[in-house]
Amino acid sequence: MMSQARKLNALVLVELKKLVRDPMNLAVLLLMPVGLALIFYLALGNVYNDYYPVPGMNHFEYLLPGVMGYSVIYMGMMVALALCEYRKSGVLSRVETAPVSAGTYLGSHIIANMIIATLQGLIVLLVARALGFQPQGGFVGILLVVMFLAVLGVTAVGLGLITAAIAKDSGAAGGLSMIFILPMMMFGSLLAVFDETTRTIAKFTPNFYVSESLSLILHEGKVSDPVIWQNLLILIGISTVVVFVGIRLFSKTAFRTDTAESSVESQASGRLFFVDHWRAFLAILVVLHHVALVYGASLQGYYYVEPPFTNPTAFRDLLVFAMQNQGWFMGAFFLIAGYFTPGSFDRKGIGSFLKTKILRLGVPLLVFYFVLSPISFIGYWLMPSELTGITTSLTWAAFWDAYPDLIGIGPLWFVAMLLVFSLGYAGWRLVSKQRENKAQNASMPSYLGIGVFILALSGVSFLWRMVVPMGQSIWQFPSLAYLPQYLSFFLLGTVAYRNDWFRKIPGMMGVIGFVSAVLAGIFLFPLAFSSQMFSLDLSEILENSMGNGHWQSAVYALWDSIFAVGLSLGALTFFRRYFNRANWFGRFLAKQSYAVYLIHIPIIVFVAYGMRNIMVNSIVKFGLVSLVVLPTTFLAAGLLRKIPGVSRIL
Amino acid sequence: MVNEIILKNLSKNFGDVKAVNGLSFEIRKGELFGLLGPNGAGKTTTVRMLCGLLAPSSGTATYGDLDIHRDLHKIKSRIGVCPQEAAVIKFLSGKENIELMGQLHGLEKHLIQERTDMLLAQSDFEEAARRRAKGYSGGMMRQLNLMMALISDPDIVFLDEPTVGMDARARRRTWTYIADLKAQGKTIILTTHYIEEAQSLSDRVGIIDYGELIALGAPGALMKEYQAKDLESVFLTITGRRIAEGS
Repeated sequence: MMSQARKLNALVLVELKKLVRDPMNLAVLLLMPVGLALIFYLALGNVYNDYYPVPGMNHFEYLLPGVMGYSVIYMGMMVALALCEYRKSGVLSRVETAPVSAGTYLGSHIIANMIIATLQGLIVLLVARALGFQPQGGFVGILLVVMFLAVLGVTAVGLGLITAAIAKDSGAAGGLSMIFILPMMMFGSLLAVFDETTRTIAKFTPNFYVSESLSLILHEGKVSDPVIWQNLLILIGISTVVVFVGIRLFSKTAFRTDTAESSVESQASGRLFFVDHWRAFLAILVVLHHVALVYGASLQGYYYVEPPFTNPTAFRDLLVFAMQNQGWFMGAFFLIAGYFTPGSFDRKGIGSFLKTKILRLGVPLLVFYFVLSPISFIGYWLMPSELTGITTSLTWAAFWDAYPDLIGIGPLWFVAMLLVFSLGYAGWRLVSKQRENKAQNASMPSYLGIGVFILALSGVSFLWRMVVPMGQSIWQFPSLAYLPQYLSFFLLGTVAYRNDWFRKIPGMMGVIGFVSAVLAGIFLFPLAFSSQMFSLDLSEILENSMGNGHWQSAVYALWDSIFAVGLSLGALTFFRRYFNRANWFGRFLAKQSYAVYLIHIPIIVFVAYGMRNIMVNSIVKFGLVSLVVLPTTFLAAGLLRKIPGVSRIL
Repeated sequence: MVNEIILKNLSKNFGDVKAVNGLSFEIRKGELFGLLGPNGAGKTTTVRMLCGLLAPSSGTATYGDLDIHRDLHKIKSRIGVCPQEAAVIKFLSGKENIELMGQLHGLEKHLIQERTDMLLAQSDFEEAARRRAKGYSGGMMRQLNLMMALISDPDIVFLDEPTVGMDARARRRTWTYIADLKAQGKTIILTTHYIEEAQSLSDRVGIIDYGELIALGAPGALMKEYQAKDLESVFLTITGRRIAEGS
């Protein structure tokens, strides 16, 4: 990893050298923004209109945030030209002959251009300052401006990658770039006088979110306006998608990315890289799920919750997210766990199998129960007292007094249940004395078989939820209503191992599964709540949809059965198709995923508490906190696993 | 002799076109192996697969225990590739280009410095190396190209048409350089469509045509086997065409 960082650093320096050594780059990337600022100042410095956010400003000052963003977008063209040139001259192939990944190489472009984008925008601001503009927002405002420009720089690189992937040469790339540059100039950079129509169009241009936010910051000094954070999230979302698409498309034209090779690689090493990556993705979903519970999706007591600051119905969106998550993701975890159980048993034999399970599942369970759970429950003291009724402050004495009530298995219920399933499996193998060899003539699941399984699962779930409704915590198991899904998916995993389904299930089955899941989510999920979905009366929703024999509960059970099976099939084939290759980042995420599962709750509690004063819409807050929690948790997990002996367990 | 690289049924299809079709042979440690054939025979495609730039459609190749499907990263640490085109970054100086390749191979700074100085001294390139590559002549570019391949002091060097476009004098100088590399014990894979080059430099040659291996052996042995005066005649005897005619 250090070595890759050094290589990344070397490549970033090359791109920065290009900036100063190539006259065209220097002109477009640095002199053009300065020139633009001067031209706008000379032409519009004395023009005044009545639609400015701050009365008395001139048109140059009004346009300034747009010009800052717009100058960054031009970088997309420069990136496209450079990459076309590198590809044509063989430089990309040359880099690829060295032990450098495509990700490192393209990452260097992203980092270099983030730096350049920030520089460009700040140069424009400096020029404007010299011409009399008084930026508002102070130091925090400048930091926010830097963030916006950097993220917009990433978007520009993504657009450049897409352009370079489509264009055969740099000439074509220059022309193609105008397809994204011109609309951004017209609509995203405040040049257009906004009415309803132009504003709607502008929302499709990434730099609009920069212009709007920079205007709020630099013109009005509103650094804590929720719109800024909302725009930042939208921009991050856009840049992530654009860069991802750009990397995929460009890599196909410049780097070795054949999927055939990936599967060969996986087969050759015997390791299912795509399952590692799928598991890491599920761990991320678990973390997001528990962050969502902080901001309104919690139906029961939770370690730390924060009431919505603004829109009181924002919790509903997070609740839908949490419910949809819960509909499949733990089932998928059990499916994967079931898949690896027979092989582990065969390799180790019963003694070592049990020892490993007790060590790897039992120890984390105890650690969470006695240590991490009480630490997480400190959140109770941190919440506003009107939510908890706790009026005493947190002291050692108060903590130890409450300690017996603070211990618990929390999210480690999964580990506890898996331990039970594993013991059950070992018992069955002992009794049946069967060997779970891979079948010589493996059979594939048929669509009919999958349909029957879904119907059976939904029927059993419906009946089970008459006894254990959803949302009811029993023996500290918060989602025991899903027991039929968890158990059947675990068993399905063992069958999948025997028939090698993870490698062999056709891609089309995954597509159909995914589409079915989406359709079920659109039609059945809302139907399960009838018209009450949009009511705030949670008790009514719970009463009917979560169990107790109501027809809505039957629809809900049908929905989550289709959803769980469909999404699991979709995710399996998706990760197998696109993420079946070893790379350090995927390996890092996969290695930490179990430790992340163990430690994420206290991290969420303390990060959420630390960010409590950012008063924005709950969904925006959820996004912001997740952005901090996810890297923190994975890094903390990585550090934890560095402790001698810990990686044997986690 | 110990085998350095083993190709096993290595194939590459581009759509319906079989660019390389089931190549199976060994390249021995420390030998200079010439891959000879007309333009479009599949030489560069073969080299690109061996260097990890192209994924084979089927088959594999191994470097000792390392497989090109599985251990590409490790393989790339052992090889140096001098591509056919002068793949240099023009806004960097010659020295910076060489150093960059050293950095991408993960070498320590002092080692990069030492090796760069040594390579530049050997090629009498110190003066030119301070200038940006943008102003280099074609011959200088190709010299730089070769040095960039050698900065990591690789065990195995791929030279893809290293003398194409060079005048006779520059070509002879490059041949001497290649012979020096061989003397250092490096395994060299040389692709060329120049008969004289392959014949005079190679310990063994593999002649390929339409993506298939049609002859393999030491130049002298092949000429003796086909009772030919040179490798061109060997090719003519087997295919009825001259190498220069291609397909």
